Amino acid sequence: MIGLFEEFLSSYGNVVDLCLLNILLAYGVWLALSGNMFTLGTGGFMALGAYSSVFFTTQTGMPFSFAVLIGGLLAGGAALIIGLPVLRLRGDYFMLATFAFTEVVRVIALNWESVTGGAIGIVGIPRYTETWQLALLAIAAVYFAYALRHSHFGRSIAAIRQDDVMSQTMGINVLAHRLTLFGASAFVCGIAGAMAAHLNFFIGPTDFGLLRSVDALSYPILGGFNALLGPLVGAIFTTLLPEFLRFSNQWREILMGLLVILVVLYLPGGAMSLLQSDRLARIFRRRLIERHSIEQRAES
Amino acid sequence: MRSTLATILLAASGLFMGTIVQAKDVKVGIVQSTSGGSAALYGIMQKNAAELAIAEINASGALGDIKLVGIHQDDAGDRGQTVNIFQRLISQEKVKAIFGPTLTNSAFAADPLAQRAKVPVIASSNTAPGVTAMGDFIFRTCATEPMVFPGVLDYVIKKRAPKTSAQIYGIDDMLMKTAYDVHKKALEKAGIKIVATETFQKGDVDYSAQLTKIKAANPDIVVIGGLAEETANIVRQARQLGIPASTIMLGANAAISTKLHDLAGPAAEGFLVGSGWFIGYDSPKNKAFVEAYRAKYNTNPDTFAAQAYAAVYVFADALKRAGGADDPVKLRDAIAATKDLDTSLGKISFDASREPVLSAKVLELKDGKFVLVSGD
Repeated sequence: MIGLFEEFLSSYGNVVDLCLLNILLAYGVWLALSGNMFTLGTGGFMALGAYSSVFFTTQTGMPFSFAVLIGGLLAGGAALIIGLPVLRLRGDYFMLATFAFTEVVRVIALNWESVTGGAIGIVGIPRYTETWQLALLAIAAVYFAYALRHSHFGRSIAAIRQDDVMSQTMGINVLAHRLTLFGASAFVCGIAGAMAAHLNFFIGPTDFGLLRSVDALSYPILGGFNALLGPLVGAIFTTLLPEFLRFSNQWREILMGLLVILVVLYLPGGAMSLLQSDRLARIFRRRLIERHSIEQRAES
Repeated sequence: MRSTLATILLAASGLFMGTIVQAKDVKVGIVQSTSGGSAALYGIMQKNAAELAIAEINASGALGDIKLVGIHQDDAGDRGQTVNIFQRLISQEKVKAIFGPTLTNSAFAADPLAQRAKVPVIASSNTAPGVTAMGDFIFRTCATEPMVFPGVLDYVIKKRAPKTSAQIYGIDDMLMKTAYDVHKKALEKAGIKIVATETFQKGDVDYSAQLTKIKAANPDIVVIGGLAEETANIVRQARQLGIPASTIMLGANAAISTKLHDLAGPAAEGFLVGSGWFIGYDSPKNKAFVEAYRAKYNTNPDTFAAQAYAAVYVFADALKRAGGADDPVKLRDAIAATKDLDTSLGKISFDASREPVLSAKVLELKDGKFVLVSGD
């Protein structure tokens, strides 16, 4: 049994690692999303964690665990600093501001050659990241999400998500709650970045751009934002999909796009809503209600 | 739910099942991006050329009863997927060599796995420095900028004796950044003064600000570190802005493309570039390659295709000398010992750091075509 497991890991070890890493990232983004913060800053926070941890492990000989922690803290700290002005922005403007942050980090990484290697990136990074560490972090992320949902803080967040003006009048400090969440989200993303940097020997500025941020956003959204395991399912689904579709060659991107569209169209609650037994009935019912209300509106 | 899971698992095991092989078959991996944006432009050509070479070698019977079996996998230009593929090809398919990957970034992430498993990798498009330094099982057949640019500069020096130069390059592209470093070093070594250095970013289409500054510095030559499209735009706009034809434009290896003339038109006349290969290269092996490629794929091969094609021939030749693929160290040694093998690129050998030794060809764009002006 153990032999079989080892054989599996030698062929698919990296797939497992990427799944776990993306799960971590998915919960990082989920934290921000749960406060209605549609963040595109993930790539920037990952880059902070990645570059700083690599700097510390390769240049100062710091132990890996400390370097990862510092990477996370730096990303979290950056989020607190940019969060204060940026969190006063809402919706599209918040998204644009976080996108700008990711771009700024990318441009700095491109130009600060002595530390980041510029466009060439950093080659020959020692591989410290182990599968069990990633698994542990992923489990911790899920547990943290679980605990959060059942805490007072979590309930306040849920209220903010429903209506932030109302929450404020009820005595919830909306800005403080959002800032904490944004910082925590960046902390997790920074840790994920540090782990990613020590996984595959190499990092470059293109690894942490807009694409990475959008990918990370899609995990919790595809998997199901409201379910505890939604981000996990979304991350695994999105990571495995290209592997399963590899046989289809050029068709692959089209198939992937199609699947994503189908999920968004027919499972607006994410893939996790598949597990709810009366889902079909509910979708059907919702359709009826929608049509009904549209008709009513048309009549009035 | 349980039945869905079972179906998925079943489907997965079916997809991942190995190819059935005969006793004397030697499996080789071809890891080239055939999807995923611009990486596919380079990947598809290399995949085609490698498969063409494998088919030819098998048909010729040159390897006796050994048959090469190419397994192509698409990494979509995504580094994580390249590593996934390398793991599977090495552990499950037990390939004896890997051709690729398309992108240098992917090589830095995936090649160490092959090195550890003692599976030779022969790259045909990873031109950045440090690729073969990853280990003694990593080879490449692609001419790198340091191999081709000095020849181009020598030619210009002989012809025009330039005193001053300007440089313009893509600062956010790994390939162009390294090309810039090579150009700068060569210019300094030749004692040519660099009077202006300008940069641009991917996706830029208007270079007039940078070119105006370069024009003001009035250099004898302009060295461009850009891909084909960028270089074409720069050359065209430079001439429009009035940089005279007496100022010679030199490009990076990656700028070689028929697109250059299509996009730049007559402005590109006299443009100089160095390469390990060009389509008009006059040798029987190359003519046969170009013809066979055209016949099979209805399109002209590019430099990367020629280098991928040569990589397979290098491997086949080594396989023959090593007497099979059972001993990976023996196979590696045989590849390293490749000496003056006649390929589509001309005679190829490897130096001590597993870099290709090729004749660098200096090409000039004349009447819309690259012609050889120096080199053999």
